[in-house]
Amino acid sequence: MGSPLKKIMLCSSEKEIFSVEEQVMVQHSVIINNMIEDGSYNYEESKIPLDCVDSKTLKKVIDYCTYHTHHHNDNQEDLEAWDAQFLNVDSNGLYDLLMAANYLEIRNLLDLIYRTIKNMIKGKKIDEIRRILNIKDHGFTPEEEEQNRKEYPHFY
Amino acid sequence: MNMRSQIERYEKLGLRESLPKIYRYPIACREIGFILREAYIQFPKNLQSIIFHDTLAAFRLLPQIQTQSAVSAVHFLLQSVEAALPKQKRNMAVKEFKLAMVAHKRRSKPQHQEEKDSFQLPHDVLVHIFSFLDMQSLVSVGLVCWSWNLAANDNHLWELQYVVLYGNAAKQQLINRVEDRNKRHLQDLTDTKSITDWKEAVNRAYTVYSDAGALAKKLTTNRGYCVNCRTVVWLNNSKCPNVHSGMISEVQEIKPVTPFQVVEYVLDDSLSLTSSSDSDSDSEGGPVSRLWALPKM
Repeated sequence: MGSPLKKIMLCSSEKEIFSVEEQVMVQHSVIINNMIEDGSYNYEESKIPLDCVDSKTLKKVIDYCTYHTHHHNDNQEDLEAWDAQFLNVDSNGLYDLLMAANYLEIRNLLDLIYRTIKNMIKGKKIDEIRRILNIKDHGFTPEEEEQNRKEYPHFY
Repeated sequence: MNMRSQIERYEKLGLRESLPKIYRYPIACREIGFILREAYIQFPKNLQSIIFHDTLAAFRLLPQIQTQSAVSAVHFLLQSVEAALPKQKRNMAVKEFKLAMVAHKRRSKPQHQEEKDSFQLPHDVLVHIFSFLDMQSLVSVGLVCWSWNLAANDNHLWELQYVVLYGNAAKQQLINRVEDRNKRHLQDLTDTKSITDWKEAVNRAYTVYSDAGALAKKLTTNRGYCVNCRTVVWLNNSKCPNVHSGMISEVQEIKPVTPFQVVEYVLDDSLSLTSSSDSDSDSEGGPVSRLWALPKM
């Protein structure tokens, strides 16, 4: 573990560079922690390329890690309120965050997103789920779809 | 004394905490509605005031919920408000309802217009998320689209459902039985490792069980009466969420409850759950339908 004030550079898919406290990313991202620990990161020259994470998403991920590093002693309710506000994004934003958290292996952010998606689909009608997640092509044949609607009318 | 315990029992229903949860909101709304209709006037002033504030909270939360079942539950609640509350409170509640409906309509509009890429999650992510769902939701998400169908039929998910329904012991029995059969039939094959189709197993076990009607009722609701806690609880995967000291969670007894029984419970702590005979008669008539085909209450 490096000193708390050391900075590391992250590079988004648009080649925008973000400078972050090392401690913040090391604590949350398994991948970055491994990179720092095995010495493959050079503080003078390296920047970590994150080709599948765009700037907007990367900024949010950094916000999340920073907040949770500095506020981990806050009470649970405040943290949950912050998380809920943080994830108040459209389904595309949520998807991008999920992919970024998965790539960087940020466990608590992943869990948070999983729970959020679960709550988005649990107890909802199928037509509503399709609308919310913008699923237009469900991939069933018209016959299959008709059969399903007949068999499980209360789910639609 | 009795007055105090009515409040305690009402608080134990956990209605206020459940309102912000999308999948509990409609149930909580209906229960508040039933309580307003059936029991409100009999309650002491302080409990009436709690129920009134929960009603307002329910209306205020509507714009956040955005589901069809929430809207119909809110209309039911409004009818109850109009039937049960005295004039001044009724006017306040109706005003709150109108504001909520306006906000709800305003919020649901942009969602329709937002036409971007569809939301396709990788298979393993879907399976992971689906592992948090109860059986009914699991069947339902399997009908959303093809890739979800694939994920929702994941064998491991159904193995989990089997354990939730029938416990670990039953699961082990079934595995042993399948292995025995495989040993007899496939002696000359090197790989005798058995693979059980757990979805099929859940389906079959359900039709065999004599208490199928009661079980299905249990599954179609998020509410139940836990015999151990002597409380109406929010079910977590058909189980009581409370930890019972000295009890194995598999043997805890949950009885399905109707909103009327919830009202009875708050009023005088007596639940007419004497037997499950009503559900037995349900299951006798005609072939037992597949359990997830039962309509939601």
